[in-house]
Amino acid sequence: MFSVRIGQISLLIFLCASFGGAVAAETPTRKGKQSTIVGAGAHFSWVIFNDLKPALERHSGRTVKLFGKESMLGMGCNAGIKTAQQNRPGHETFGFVCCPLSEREISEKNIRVHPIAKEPILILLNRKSRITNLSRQQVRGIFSGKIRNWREVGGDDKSIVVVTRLHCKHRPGHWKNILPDSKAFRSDRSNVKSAAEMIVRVSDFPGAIGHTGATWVFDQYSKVKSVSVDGFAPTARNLRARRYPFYRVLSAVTNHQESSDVMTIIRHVQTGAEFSKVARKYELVPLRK
Amino acid sequence: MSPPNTYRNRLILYIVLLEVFLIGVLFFFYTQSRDAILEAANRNIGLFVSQVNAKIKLEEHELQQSARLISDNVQLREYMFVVVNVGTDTAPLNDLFQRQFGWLPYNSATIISKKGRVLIGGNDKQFLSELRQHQSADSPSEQLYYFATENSIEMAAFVPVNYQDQFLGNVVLTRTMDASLIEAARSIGYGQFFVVMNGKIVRSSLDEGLSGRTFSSVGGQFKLGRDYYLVRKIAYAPSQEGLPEIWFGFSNPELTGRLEQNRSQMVALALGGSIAILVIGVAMIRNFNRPIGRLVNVMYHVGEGRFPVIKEAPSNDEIGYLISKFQDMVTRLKEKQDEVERVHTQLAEQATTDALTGLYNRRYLYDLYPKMLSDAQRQGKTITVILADLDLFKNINDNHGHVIGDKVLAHVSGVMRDCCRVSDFVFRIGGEEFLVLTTGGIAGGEILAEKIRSCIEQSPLVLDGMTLPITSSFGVAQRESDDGEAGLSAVLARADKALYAAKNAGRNRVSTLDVSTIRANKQRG
Repeated sequence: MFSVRIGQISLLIFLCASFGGAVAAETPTRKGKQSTIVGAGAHFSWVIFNDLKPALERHSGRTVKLFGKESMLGMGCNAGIKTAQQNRPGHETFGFVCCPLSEREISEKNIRVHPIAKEPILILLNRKSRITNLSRQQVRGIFSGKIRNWREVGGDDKSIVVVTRLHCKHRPGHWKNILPDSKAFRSDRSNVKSAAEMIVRVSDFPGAIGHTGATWVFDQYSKVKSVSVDGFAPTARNLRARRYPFYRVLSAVTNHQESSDVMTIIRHVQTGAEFSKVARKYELVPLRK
Repeated sequence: MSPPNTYRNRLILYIVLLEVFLIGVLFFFYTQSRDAILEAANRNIGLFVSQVNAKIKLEEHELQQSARLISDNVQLREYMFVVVNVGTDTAPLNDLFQRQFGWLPYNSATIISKKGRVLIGGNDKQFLSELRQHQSADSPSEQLYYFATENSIEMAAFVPVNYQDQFLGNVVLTRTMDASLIEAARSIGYGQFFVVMNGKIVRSSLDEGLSGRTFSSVGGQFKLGRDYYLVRKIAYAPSQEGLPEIWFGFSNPELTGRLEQNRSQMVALALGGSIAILVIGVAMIRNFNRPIGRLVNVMYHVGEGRFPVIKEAPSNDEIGYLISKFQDMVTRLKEKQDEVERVHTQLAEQATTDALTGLYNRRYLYDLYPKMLSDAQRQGKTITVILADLDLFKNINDNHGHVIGDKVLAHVSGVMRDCCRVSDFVFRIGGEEFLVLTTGGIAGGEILAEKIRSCIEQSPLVLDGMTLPITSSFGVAQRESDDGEAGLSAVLARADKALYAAKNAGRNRVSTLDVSTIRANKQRG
């Protein structure tokens, strides 16, 4: 409930800021290139942009405002696309998403996708669980409901509580690496609306299993752990070597009128030296060299 | 015995009336106060009970609201969904519940699945049994009902939990109703609650062990020992049967305790007031009634012709002034009375005595004779008259003057008086004529006459060196039975005849006229 409220507050702030930014951008003659560039979107991409924000402002010479921390279901990628669509001269915006977009959506929404990195999808278990490794079949069996007790995969005799955050259902990739369709998941799963809620839910149920992106920053209250899959930890190296199977693509999005400053920012995120550090920090696989 | 309408009696009556008034006023105000308190209590208990009823309704509403708050919580519903459907441990649900709803005001919280699995709470088996009776898997709906446990009456709010169009179970919050009321009554320290089942008290806010005692409200009153309780029934769960009744009441000691506490003060006040009135009354009687009574007594004696002296010194007040003036008046009245008596005596003496000689006069002779005769007749005696006449008194007057003559008369009178007995009466009935009444009989009278004659003869008047010899003749006669009722004239006539005989016989002698002798001589002759 607390995470839901945080998400709502974030959205409110985001919308207010967008409106404020729009007002500011409508007076280019007065502020010119000194106006703020607004970026918004999914939390997991926001983490990257937020870590790089000082470098981005330094390189672009612009003030960058970012929104998207702990974005909720329906508010992350969609907000990123919408923010990107709002970009126009004097009102420079861009978005960031945590899911790959289909060609059709890209075409319909008249946007351009700038891939940034692959992010491992962590398989989360409650810290009390004895399980440290699962095979991808076991993971899929658990999420589909074929496996309903941890005893079946070498754990305690405890019912499995499946926690999912099946966002961006019409987009390919991301959780669809685990199971291709939401209907393939257990019907008696527990659905959450945000990544924060996912952590809480898995923390609360000793028999829970969930998933989230590797850029999530766990706090002291998180009682979860990520397990390796097929014996491989969710690292950039295993992901790059295709040994770790679950991942998603983090991207920036713009409309076709992006300014050079916006592009400078996105290019720096994709290829900047600072980004390498961030990628190492979050086990990301950069998609542009 | 004093008359009924005396000042003293009226004072006593006034004191009694004052006492009665004082006690009556205190009693009146005591009963009025008591009635006013009880009347107000009757009104207030109704108001109080309606407030309790309203509070119960409010608590019902609050409890239902709390249960709805829980059942509406998405996270809880999701957790419950997981627990119910996956069959996991309930600890996460419990943790979430404690995190989110631990602050809500309830006594116990139970979450029970539609199949009867207890997810939260449910430690009381009796309670669980009640819950399962009320839970309907087919048509879950909100309910509020009461049920009685061994120790309490529980208010239970029953709210279904649904998730994704699936009925998961019920959230049940309870609040111990009677215990909170009883606790409230105890903390306030005013008013008592009685929980009654089948006419027997099962619990109460009183500390005494009343369990099992019969409870019966007659006219809104319940008698408990020596106390009465004004009681009203608390209306809760009107549609439910088999629940205990809850009664609220004020006891008489609670209502009138302060008044009863003050009753001893009122009694003390009444007693003090009574004593004060008595003291004042006694002082009034003492200060007013006693002097007035003394005045009345003196007046009584004055009325009886006596003049008592008020010995007590009068006080320095109005009554004292009155007594003082009254004493003066009595004193002056007594002086006047004494003077009147003295004058009266003087006049009486002047009327019966001879001014020259001090002997009784002729008038007194006629007054005295009947009385003396009556006394003599009662004693079986008779009266003897001795008539005396100075010999040749005219010569004394002629030779020595009337002054000397008067002195001779006074001198002879003194001699006669000295010679007579106390019981004899000596009269001067004419210029030089004297009379003695005696009861010694004719012989005694003759002897007395001779004695007087001898005394006079032997007592000449010595005046300025001159000796003036005096003699007297005496006629003695006795009252006879045929002299009539008065008979003085007859006996005087006989004495005078005897005196005449003595004169004729040469004076300075006694002559007796004895009628019996004459009669005897006549018979002999």
